[in-house]
Amino acid sequence: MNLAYRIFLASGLFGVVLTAQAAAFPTSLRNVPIPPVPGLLDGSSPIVVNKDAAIALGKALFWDQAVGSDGQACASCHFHAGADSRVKNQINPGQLSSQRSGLAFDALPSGSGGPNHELSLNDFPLHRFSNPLDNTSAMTFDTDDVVSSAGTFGGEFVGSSKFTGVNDLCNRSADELFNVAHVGTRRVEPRNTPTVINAVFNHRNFWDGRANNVFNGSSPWGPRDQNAGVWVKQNAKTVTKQRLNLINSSLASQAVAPPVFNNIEMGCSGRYWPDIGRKLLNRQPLQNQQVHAQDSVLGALSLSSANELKPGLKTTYRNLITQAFNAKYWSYSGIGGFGAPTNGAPYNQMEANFSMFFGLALQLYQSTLVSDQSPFDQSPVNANLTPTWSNISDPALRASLSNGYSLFTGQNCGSCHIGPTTSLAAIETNATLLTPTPGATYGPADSPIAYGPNAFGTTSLAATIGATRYGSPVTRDLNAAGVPGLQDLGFVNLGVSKPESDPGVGGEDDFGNPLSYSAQYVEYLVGNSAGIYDLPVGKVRACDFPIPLAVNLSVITNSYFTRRDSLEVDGSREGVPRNQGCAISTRAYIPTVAAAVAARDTVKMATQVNGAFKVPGIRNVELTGPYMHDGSLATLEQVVEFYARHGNFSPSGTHNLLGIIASGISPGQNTTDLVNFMKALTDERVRYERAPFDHPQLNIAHGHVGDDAQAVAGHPLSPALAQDQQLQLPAVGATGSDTPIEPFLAQ
Amino acid sequence: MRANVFRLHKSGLKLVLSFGLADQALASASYDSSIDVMYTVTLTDSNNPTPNDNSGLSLLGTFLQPGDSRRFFAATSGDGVYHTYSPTAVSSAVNNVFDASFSASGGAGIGSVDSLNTALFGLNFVNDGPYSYNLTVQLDYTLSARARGEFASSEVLFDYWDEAETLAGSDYLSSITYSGWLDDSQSSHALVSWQFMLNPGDQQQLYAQASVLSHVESAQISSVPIPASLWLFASALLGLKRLGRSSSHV
Repeated sequence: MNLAYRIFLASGLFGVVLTAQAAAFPTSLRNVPIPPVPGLLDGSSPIVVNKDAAIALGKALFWDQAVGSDGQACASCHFHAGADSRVKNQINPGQLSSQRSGLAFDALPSGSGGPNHELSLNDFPLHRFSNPLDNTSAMTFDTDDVVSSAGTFGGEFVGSSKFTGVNDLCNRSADELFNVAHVGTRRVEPRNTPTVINAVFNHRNFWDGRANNVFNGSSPWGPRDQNAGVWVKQNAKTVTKQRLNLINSSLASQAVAPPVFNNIEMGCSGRYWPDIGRKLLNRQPLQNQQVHAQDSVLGALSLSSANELKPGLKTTYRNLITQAFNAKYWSYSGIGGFGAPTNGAPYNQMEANFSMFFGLALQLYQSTLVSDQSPFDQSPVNANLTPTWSNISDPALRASLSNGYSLFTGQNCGSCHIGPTTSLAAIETNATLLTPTPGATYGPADSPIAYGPNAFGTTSLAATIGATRYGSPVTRDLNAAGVPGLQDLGFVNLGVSKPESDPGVGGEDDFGNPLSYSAQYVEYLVGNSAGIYDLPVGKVRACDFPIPLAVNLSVITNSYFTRRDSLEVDGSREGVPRNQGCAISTRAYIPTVAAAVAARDTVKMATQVNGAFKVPGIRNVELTGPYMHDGSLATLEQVVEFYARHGNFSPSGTHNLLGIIASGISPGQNTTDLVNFMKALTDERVRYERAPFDHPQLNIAHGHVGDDAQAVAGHPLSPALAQDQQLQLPAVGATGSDTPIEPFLAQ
Repeated sequence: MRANVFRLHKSGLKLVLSFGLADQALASASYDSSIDVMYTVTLTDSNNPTPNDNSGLSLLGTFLQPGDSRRFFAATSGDGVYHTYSPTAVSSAVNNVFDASFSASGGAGIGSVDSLNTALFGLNFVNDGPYSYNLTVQLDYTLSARARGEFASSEVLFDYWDEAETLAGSDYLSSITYSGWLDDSQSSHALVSWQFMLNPGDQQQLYAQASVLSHVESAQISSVPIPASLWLFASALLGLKRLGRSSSHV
């Protein structure tokens, strides 16, 4: 019934009739451009003047344990196919829940849980039903606990050395929540760690999209942060703070968050970016971590030889910054209005702008982490963009992959995991490839795919899910009850957890403003420009919505605005032609402000963002478990089972497409074939940590000595804290490791 | 010549510490950075009918070591000391060459130093005569920075410009030590030139500013900042003592 209603609303009146099989496709990532960042490397005064130096800086910072306050590098949670495969002390009680249960740990199905628990397959899935294929059957286990990543012990920042020592001086004590019998354990994040590989294609990052598409130079919040900016030297006598507005720089927005804007992941409270700059600038990068002589980026700076691995690089962070960045961001010689720490020397310009150097360097490094050499990426495609799998020699596997791919696309998995990035959230990349561009192609060399509306499937299939050349970041689609609503494109409610457990993109930023573009678009419709914070909201095009917002016909309906309401041409308010190139011209309308205000509390203006999370790309998904934003699934088989039962929780807020999936995908051969297809998305360079996925040495805190009943106190940082157990990750050069990395809990 | 002797003036206490650079223990750290500038002025054309006559044209070279809070900072702990030195006159008449230099150094045996010292050089042109002069001015500068010991850094940030900023630029030099690299010396040299016409009644100003930002630390110790005003006073005393030694050329 929902499907029929969706088809009726989407196209029955106005367009081509859909079938359940007519979904868009995932496609090869070969030869897909990185989203452009105007002003970063180009223009009359680019920010980065030496890209190679910036990438080296970014790689060093990403892997350097001195970035955190107590040994946490960015890589500490992104070391395994860009994600985190640790199994001990990885549980958060669900702190993002609006319920009190989010402040208490639960016993997991294995019988225990909480801090310092060692996960096993017996703990998964975290949401269980008497019939695993039927979410209306009795729920046999449920928790709002989240499997995520251990970070810092926390504490109050006091200071750090400018030259040596990994740890900051902080006032530390056992955490009230994260402890085992009052022995402090490392805090754990409230959402599962997504991979950084291919993350450069995400329009926004983090599960809730709070890493703004626009990098402001100093915080994750983009234009929302009125105090953000960078210090720019005007001349020898003058330095001014200016706003930075770098688009397609969500990775930079993301990068600046964990070390400062989060006291769970990396740093002590009260530590700010200039403090981190002061700590690191004079240091050798990776001072205490070995760097392979053949490291694909850092090898030339390594002190290692073919026979001996040595820590550190033969340079300093200060030198890398002066090589990489325009001097106007670091060469002011005086003491500006940069502030000063308590009882410390005033910050200088390089320290004051360290957040920008860090964010952009990490973004440029992570932009190299593109895995586009999986069997799927390298398979030729036929005229319908279907992979031929001619690159697979085993006939049985080839047949399995063909069926798996057919199921994946036919059951609408490809509607969200769309295009070369396998994500509807890759708005800029998708829009670029969907734009007709003479001579431009992507995909495997022997069967290139032309840019244009059919780039992700014939007959403009991408448009049926809201992905068009125009890159509208808001769509209007149906929920499980068949009710239409405005949704952030690429953010979907799958009913993984209860909506009150985590609002996802339905949440707010640090200033109390909604994260979602949809909520801001509502403010646009009602004429409240003060309620719009993010630049992409100006790109919303009503005529690209699969389910119309307004139709210039005299139809009687409560689902959308019609001529019976007061309508105006979309874009006429600003003089922007958002009614051009529309597939259906009668949809190129929005309600007038008066009509929108009058209908504000009705279905016509409703948003569907609560409990919606970013659609992740699924390359290397075999290696990036556990899955979903709450880490509740351990294996790909459990993922298929989850979709077969149409999610765990089926309130009306889940996406309509979830209900269309046939239960027959699980169990049996169909599951095997689907899993085989997903495994064909693994790039062997990722599996064997070959360039560009090679890395320096890393020592990772992996739980604490003891177990979830007793942790051994006596950490060198404080006797009140538990001793760390260590996971040793040796330095790997460009040719990678002989030992493959394994799926979550496979060892 | 720069001395490797650092004089500490504080509350009547006079302490002389020597950091013999050749035999310095790894636990100590020091820096020694300097800036040398030389402006050479050439008269390329004039409507003065008398050959080699520059009537009305006067040049004044100036040197200033600012002590304001935007261009000076110093804090020490333990036995850390710092010192600045310039043989350059506060102001001097210039014929065709203005040569000036500035150095900043410091060190600690058991302690630390944080310092920012700035030098401002100026060359002022005034034409009070009845004739016009076409001038070429070449700025020849050398920056050097040296850091020694396990934990030492010293940067030189250098700017030059004319009053209207028709030609302005900057340069940078950084010297940092780290494990396995305990003695880092860096230097750079460059030439910059201006050409301008000075008509009767015209003035022109050329500037150069050099800042030495340094940090040395003998060990992981808590920094106990000493009020900047105290160090400013001490530095000023030392600077006054040196002022008589100018080196401008005519």
